[in-house]
Amino acid sequence: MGFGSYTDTEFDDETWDDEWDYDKTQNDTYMQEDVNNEIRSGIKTATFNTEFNYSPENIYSTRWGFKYSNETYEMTALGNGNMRKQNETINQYSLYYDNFIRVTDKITTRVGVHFVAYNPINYRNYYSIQPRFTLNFTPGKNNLLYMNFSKMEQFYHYISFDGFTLPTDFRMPSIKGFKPRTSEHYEIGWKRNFDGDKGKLETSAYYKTRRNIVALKPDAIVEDGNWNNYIMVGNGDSYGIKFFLYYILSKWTMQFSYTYSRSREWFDEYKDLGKVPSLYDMPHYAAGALSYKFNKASSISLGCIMKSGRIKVSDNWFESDKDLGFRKKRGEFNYRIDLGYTFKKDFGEKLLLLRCGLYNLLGNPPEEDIIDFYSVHLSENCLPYGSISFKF
Amino acid sequence: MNHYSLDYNAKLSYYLSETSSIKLFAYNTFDEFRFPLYSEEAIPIVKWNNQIYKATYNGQWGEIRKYHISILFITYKPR
Repeated sequence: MGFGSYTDTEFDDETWDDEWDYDKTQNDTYMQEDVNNEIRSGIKTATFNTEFNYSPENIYSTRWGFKYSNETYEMTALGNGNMRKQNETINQYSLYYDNFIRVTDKITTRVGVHFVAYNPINYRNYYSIQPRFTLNFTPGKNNLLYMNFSKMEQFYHYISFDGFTLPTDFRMPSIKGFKPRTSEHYEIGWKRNFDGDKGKLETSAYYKTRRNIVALKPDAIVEDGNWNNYIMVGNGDSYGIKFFLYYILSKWTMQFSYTYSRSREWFDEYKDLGKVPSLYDMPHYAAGALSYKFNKASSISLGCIMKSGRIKVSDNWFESDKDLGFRKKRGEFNYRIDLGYTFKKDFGEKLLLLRCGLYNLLGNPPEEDIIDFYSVHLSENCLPYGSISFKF
Repeated sequence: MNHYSLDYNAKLSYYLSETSSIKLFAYNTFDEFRFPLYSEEAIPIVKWNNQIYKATYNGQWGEIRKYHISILFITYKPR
């Protein structure tokens, strides 16, 4: 039913792979076309990537890799009734080196570094060194204490205007004075198994700095593609604590997670605003699920999600965020209760799986959830679902 | 606003030996957003087409040295 440990891309540990996958994500949506006004934008990317792993024994392993990418952005800007078309080519070279070392039976560490050269043809070059460090301490077989540090640099800026991802959103590589975003992430955590693996407990705390972030100015009403008139640059930070509990008691299984987190931003151009919440700031998020297993094949689950409302922004092109009191208003607190039934039976190597239930049996999910996931509306957005699958 | 989408993906793996393989991957999406400006018809306002093609070679030297080499193309054609 989708319950469990809360994850949010903004708060996730960013690993090498995550970052390399980031290219794909950003490219997937970088395309816009207006058939009436012949606005066309797009990107072409060619990438060469290689990785080597070397594990001579179980106390040490290493991997290193190299990546080259060539990206061509086709950008169209509107202004003064004219359209300007521009092609920007960017070469990017990355080299990373990552080591896993078992220092003692109880202590392991991971040390790595990532070198990146970012070379736009028509604009200034950037070079960055991004270190990673993880230390794990395992005092006994049921406990793990860990700490992480990582530095990141990303050469891409993105702003979604009204909570929906659309091709008309602001997307910009690090050119034309838009400096790369940088961040440092610090995290400590504890994981514990108890009652002979029937229970799991996890807790962690993190702090993250963010620099050269971009946002829409409070009084901006976007009329053309001259983004410098509407975008402001600033810094920010995020911090939070996470808690996760899982326990099996006879035929019952329960899991619960809670995250308290804050994300703030501030901008030199608008110092009087002070530190304002970022658009994805969500102080409270809790999820819980309770399942009962009738027999080996069938079970029923009840789940609940609760979260703070998102910061409200202007949802049309004629109103600025200043009219809403810049980042002062928040949507109402959201919650959702789901009910589901699962039947699972195997016939040798064949497997039959039946699932059915009701999403949002009770609740007030945010509008974007309703539009994204709901196609059939019962009363108050309650949505029935069902699936049958057979593996053979 | 109405949104129509279609996508496919295809994977092909060929094992040259127990420790080496070639993998091919293709992914293609078509998206179209229509805004019902007039009651009788909805005109398309945004069309998307994304393509990804990837070829990977996986290999191994001895028992402890593994490596892979891949080439990736991502292209977009306004329709």
